[in-house]
Amino acid sequence: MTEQKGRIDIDSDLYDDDDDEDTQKDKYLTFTVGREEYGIEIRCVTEIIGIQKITDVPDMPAYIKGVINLRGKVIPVMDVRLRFRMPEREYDDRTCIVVVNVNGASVGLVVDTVREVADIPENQIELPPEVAEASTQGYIKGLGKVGEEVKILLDVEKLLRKEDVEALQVL
Amino acid sequence: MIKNIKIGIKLSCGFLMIVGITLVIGMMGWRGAISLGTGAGEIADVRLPGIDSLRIMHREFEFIRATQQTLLNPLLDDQEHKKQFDNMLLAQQRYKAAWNTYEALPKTAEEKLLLDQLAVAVEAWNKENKVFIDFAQQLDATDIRNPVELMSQLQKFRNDHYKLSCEVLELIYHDKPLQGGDDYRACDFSIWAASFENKNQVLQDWLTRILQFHETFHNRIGNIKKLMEKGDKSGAEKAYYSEMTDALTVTFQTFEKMEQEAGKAIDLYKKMNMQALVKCREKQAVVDTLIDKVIKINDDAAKKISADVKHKVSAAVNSAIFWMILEALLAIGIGIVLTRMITGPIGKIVDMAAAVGRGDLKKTVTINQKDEIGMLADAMRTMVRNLNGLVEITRRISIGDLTVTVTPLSEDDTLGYSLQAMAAMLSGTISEITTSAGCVAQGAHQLNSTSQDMSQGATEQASSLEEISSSMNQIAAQTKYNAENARQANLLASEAKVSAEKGDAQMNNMVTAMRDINESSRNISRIIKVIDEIAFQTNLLALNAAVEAARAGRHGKGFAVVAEEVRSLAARSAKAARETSELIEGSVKKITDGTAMAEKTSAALKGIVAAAGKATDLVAEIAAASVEQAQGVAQITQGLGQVDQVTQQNTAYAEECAAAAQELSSQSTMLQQLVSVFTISQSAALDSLEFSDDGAGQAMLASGDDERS
Repeated sequence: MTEQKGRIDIDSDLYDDDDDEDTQKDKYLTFTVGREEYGIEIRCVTEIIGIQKITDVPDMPAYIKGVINLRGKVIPVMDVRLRFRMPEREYDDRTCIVVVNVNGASVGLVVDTVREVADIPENQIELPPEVAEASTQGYIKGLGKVGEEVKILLDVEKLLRKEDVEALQVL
Repeated sequence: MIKNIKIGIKLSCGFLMIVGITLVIGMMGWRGAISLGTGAGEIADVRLPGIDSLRIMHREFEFIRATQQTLLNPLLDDQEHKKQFDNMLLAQQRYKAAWNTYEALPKTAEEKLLLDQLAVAVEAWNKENKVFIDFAQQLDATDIRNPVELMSQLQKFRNDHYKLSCEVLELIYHDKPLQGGDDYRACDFSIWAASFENKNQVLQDWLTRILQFHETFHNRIGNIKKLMEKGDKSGAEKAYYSEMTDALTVTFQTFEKMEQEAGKAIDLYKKMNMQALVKCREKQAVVDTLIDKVIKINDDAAKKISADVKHKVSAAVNSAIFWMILEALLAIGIGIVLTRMITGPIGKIVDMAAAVGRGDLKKTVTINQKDEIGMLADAMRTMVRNLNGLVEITRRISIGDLTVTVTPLSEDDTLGYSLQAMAAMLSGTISEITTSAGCVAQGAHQLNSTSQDMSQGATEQASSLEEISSSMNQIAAQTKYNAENARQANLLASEAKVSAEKGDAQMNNMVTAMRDINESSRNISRIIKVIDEIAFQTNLLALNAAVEAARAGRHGKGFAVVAEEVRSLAARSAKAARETSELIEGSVKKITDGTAMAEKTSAALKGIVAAAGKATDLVAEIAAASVEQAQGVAQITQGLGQVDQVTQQNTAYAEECAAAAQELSSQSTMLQQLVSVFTISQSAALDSLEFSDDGAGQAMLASGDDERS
């Protein structure tokens, strides 16, 4: 009864966004890609794992590296560097895969390093500069200030294009 | 006078005499042989053939006699019979041949006489022989070869038949059985008649006739017998008297006739016998006697010739022996005489030649003959005379008088020419020697002065050597000193090298130690990495935990705290690891630097070692060179010593040379004195100035003596 309750509670907690928004809201998982640090809301993050073997899938956009097998689950993986049109970097032992949940679909993001879970209050977040929207396609949610540094906060949902989601959903 | 005859003629005469006597002997022998030949020839060609022919004739007569005897044999068959006639003919032919042979031979008068007689006797005998042959032929004509036998047979048959007729009568009158008689074929007579081959026609006729009646006769006997068997005695009787009697009579008559024929033959035969055995024999005896006489004559003649020849031969032999002995003695005598006449004088000449061969020219021979030996003696004397002349010339040369002239006796006088050449040569040579002696004296003087100079030079040489020697000694000392220093330097360099090597070794050890440190640092690094890795993973874990905690909402707060703590722990680990890593890096870097420096030092030390090694080598070389130098110096010193020796020797030699020069000059003076003994003609002295080696071509020297006698 406690279990069920817990579960139900967990479930209700999960669905109950208002209560939980506090706890999750200002927390961003920071990672580095290239020279800059990026952050994404922690509630999108499912898991963080070290780099592992990516199975190449043909006929996919370049930045979709392939898929991985995570405890029986097949998760497509996207290389963030390629997505940001940065030159590709060789994967080392610091490279991590951040598994995010996007509209119910799990996607893995390959990042250079993972930093911390940073607490960034809203007042510290600036909107991104007005750059041609076409290029960024609106996935930069804002720029967060942490101490001296500025972290680029990403909108995960925007990160994946519509067609990609459809393609991925085919998988 | 004999002495003056040429030797050739003497020898020839002697041989001719011998030849003459030999011819005489030969002649006699020839004559004897001729007579022997004649005699033997006569015997062989005349007497022996004569005797031989006569004997043949004798034999043929005998042969004919034998033939006659054979012909008398009644049992002879036809072939043999005929053969006898042939034989007789052959014998006569042979006789004729022998007669001809004998007649051709030469005969004496006596022989001729006997021969005529013989011819007559032979003729007579021939006649008788013809008669005999005649009879024989007649007998042949009857063809009754054996008449006696025939006669007896006929008689027998006649008797048989008579007996038969009597038996018939007996039968008729006395009934005496009569066996046979009726078959004429069974009768002996028939059988005989059937096989009776006879060419005598008369006989044959009679025989034929008889046979007819014979048959009748027997048939009639048969009749009678039949009649008798029938018992017809009278018939038989009648038959007998009428039939048989005729037949009987005729048969018997005919038998008689046949017997007559046989009787004729027997007569002939008897005549033949008489002829052969008596008449012919008589005549033959005469012939034989005559033949024997002739034979005897021949025989006697032969014997006489033989005796005669023997006599002649012995005479010839005797005279030949006599003449041979005579000749031998003569030959020996002549040989001895001639030999003595030749070898005597030749012996004397040989003695003289031997004396000349020994060199003794005093001997001579006193032979005065006109023949070849005399000529030889003359030639020998001439030769000796000429030789003596040459001897005189050589004597004069021997005392130094080279002014002699030699006149060759002829173109072939090789000795004269040689002497001439010798004299010229000697003259030339002596004058040359004179001039040479003068030159030598001059040369000796020069030699003297030169040797003195040389002696001086040698002395100077010796003093310079002294100086060189002392310099060399100094060099030697210096070299030794150098060698010693080099040796020491070598030692020091070796020590330095050793130290450098030791330092190098230590450096190596240090480098090794530093490497070990490096190694450990690396290990530590590795471990730090592991820790770092753990920190990282822990961080991730913490983040995941934070995520989960965030997801958990307010329930997750505590968890979030824990996660945060874990994160900070991880961060601390990471930091510590990082710091350690930095320290390690620093350490590694220092070590690397240290290693680099150590390696530099090591290299420097190695350089020192190498340099020290090189220095050692160089110094070793210096030492070796010094040693060699010292050796060289020693050798030079040695050489100088030798040179010094040689110089001293040279000095001595120079002195000797001077002495020798002195000696030479005195000797040359002596030589000049010696040469002055010879007197040479002026022309020779002049010619010697342009003297050539052709001594034989020299012209004759001025007025030389000629000792030709």
